[in-house]
Amino acid sequence: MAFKQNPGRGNNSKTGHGLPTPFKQDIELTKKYTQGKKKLATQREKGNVDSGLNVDKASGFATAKPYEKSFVTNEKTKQSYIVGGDKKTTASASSYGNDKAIKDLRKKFVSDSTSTMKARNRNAELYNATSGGTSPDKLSTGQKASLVTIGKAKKVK
Amino acid sequence: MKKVILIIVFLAFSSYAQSQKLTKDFLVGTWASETVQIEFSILNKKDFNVVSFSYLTGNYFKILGYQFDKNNFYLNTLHEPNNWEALCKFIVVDENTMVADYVSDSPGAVIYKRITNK
Repeated sequence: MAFKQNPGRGNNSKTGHGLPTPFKQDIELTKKYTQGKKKLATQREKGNVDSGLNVDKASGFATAKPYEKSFVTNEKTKQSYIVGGDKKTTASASSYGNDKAIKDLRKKFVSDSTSTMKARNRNAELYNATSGGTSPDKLSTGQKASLVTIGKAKKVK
Repeated sequence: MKKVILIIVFLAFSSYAQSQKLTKDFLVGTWASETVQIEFSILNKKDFNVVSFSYLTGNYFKILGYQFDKNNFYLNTLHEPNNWEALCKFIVVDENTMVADYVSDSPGAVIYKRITNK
């Protein structure tokens, strides 16, 4: 039996079935968004910006600051350290006897770096969404969802 | 000895910076920092044209004004989506490098490199 192809959607009704959710619904910015944008502008005029963000000098667009801590191992002394951005040691562990202490320290470092960068990226996205750094028509799905969550936008069917 | 070398380098740099005039012809071409691209051109052999674009946001800046003054170039731009106004003063470092000193809510210096001449 030959394959039969229907042009377009054929006789199926236009339900939107199969389309990803973000395309089915869009958002409408609320009064809270406008008020928040003004408040943020006043705050940044005073120089108050989240310490984990870099704000572009030309456009005011925020990006997450890179993670400043590093994991350092000294092969001679068999010790490992977490070193902060200020080059000061914030934690250390020795592998004499067993390696568990080193493994735990590395686990702590990975966990902290992951959660810190996740939070900074989320803050940068939210900062740009609420400050207008990202035009409302260019908001990402994540930014839209965040705005809806904090009441600065509502879903439109 | 180290100080002498530093002084010689500084004198060589400052004499070059003084000899290099910041004119419309010098600026013509495309310049870029890590986040911004600026294209300077001369239209109809007389009109100086400035087009500035943000790599970060994908938006063009609105050019509010510009001025040449005492071997410096001042550019006033507006990033319309968030109403971010910035005034920057360009200073020549060498033929292919300028430093822009920004006055905005996030002030500081930014290095611009020449990408193309025309």
